Amino acid sequence: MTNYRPAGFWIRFLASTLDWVILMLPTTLLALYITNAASLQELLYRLIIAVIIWWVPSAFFTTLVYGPWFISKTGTTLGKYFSGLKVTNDEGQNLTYKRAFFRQNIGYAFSGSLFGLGFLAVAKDPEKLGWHDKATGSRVVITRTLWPLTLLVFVILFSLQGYFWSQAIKQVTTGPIIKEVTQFFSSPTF
Amino acid sequence: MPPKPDWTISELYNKSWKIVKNNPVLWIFGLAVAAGVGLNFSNVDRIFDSDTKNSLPATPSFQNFTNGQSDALGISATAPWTNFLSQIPTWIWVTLGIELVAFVIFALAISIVSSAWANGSLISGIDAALEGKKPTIRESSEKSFKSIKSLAWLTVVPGLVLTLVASLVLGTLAAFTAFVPSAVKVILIIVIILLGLVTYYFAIYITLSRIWALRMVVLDGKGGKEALFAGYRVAKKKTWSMIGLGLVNTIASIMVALVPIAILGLLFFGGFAFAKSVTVLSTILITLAITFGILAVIVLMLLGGIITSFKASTWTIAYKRIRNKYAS
Repeated sequence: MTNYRPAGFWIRFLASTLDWVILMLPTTLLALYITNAASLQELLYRLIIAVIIWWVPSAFFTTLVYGPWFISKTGTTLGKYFSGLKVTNDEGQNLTYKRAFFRQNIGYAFSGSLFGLGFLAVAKDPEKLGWHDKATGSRVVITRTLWPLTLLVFVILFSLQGYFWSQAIKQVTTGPIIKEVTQFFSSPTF
Repeated sequence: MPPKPDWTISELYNKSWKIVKNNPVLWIFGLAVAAGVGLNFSNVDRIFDSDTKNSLPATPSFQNFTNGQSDALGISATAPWTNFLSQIPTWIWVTLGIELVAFVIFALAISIVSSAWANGSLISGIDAALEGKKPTIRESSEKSFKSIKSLAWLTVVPGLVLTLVASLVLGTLAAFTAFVPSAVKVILIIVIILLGLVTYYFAIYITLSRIWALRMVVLDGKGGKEALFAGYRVAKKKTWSMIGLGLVNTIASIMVALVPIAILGLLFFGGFAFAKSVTVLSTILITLAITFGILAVIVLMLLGGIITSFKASTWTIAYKRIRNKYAS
């Protein structure tokens, strides 16, 4: 087994945040599509379509594929890849799908159960293991020092999404929908 | 001279307290078990569960909600929306329905596995502590992984089978009562009541058997079905002792959990009681109550973990006392 350095709290936090930003991208694009509607009814219709094509499927994608499958096959997710991190078992090999699934779902819930104390444990643990690592016999190691790149990718993606969200809010507040909403609430029957 | 009892509650409590006090790792597993409580079919060795279920307000149906809106807005105001909803193609509703049902089933499956794992880890950790070792998340979890299928089976199958069979039989008989003459109806109602009692008997014994079965799976490596039947044999012989311990456990845990709630209640009561006469005191008391309320959430969560691990510990010690006596 190659002796990699264990990854500490901050780089792991950065990798997780990057994962979150990556997974938010489709939602952000959908928000742009939804708020571009010409009427309140069309907005609702688009919302239902968004739930069908992304929000519910994304729950399956995240819990079954994005975390577990990628980690069992490659040892990383996109966020971890850009951060130069890898999830391995004690022997330095990739986790099995079952272990990876358990780690990414039940393990995370376990670590988050007491206000995220299980994640914060990474900072204090001598081997830099969180509760989810200990529960599944896994560890996160640094394969390459890439944190400046991680930070750059994060800033770019975060800014881009921030811009898209501001556009989405602008579309709602300046477009025809806000007028419809105002009319709806100011109607005498309300 | 009467035979020596297999356990006394004070003895179990003393030993459990020592174990739980010295091993905070058990609190974490207890917390995980307590958090996954909602999906369990047996609640005897848990607190909060039945209380919260009974006290939940009835959720208004969508029908009632839209009716209410029509009342407020007038029929003409909601009509375009009703038209709009009816214009959405059926395939969209069907797809949405299928996706949501799949999601709920998936979430249920994850919760069952999670609950099984947490239970197994907790029992395994308690066993390690009883053997004089320091329980760790890694070792306890590994041991739980090995028996996770049987643990999940025990969590779901017995309760589910009983629910399905009872619903089917009782539902069919209840439906029959509408088509039979009065004399037969009376007999059918008596049969339904008797079968209801039988179902209740089995529900109690499944709950009691599960307590031992979980321990047999984790500590003795038995399969789920084998453990359930062995657990049933033990439960039959120790019914009253188990009910006694279960009751004391429940009362003790409710009393412990009530302390922060009572303090909170007193502070709020005092705050509002002095609201008109002594404004400064009232403000101080309400501020204290809000601060304490936030703290109470953390305390109650932690307490939930400690109490769950304590109760699991009493059952595990009891099981270790009788494992070779009745189980085989």
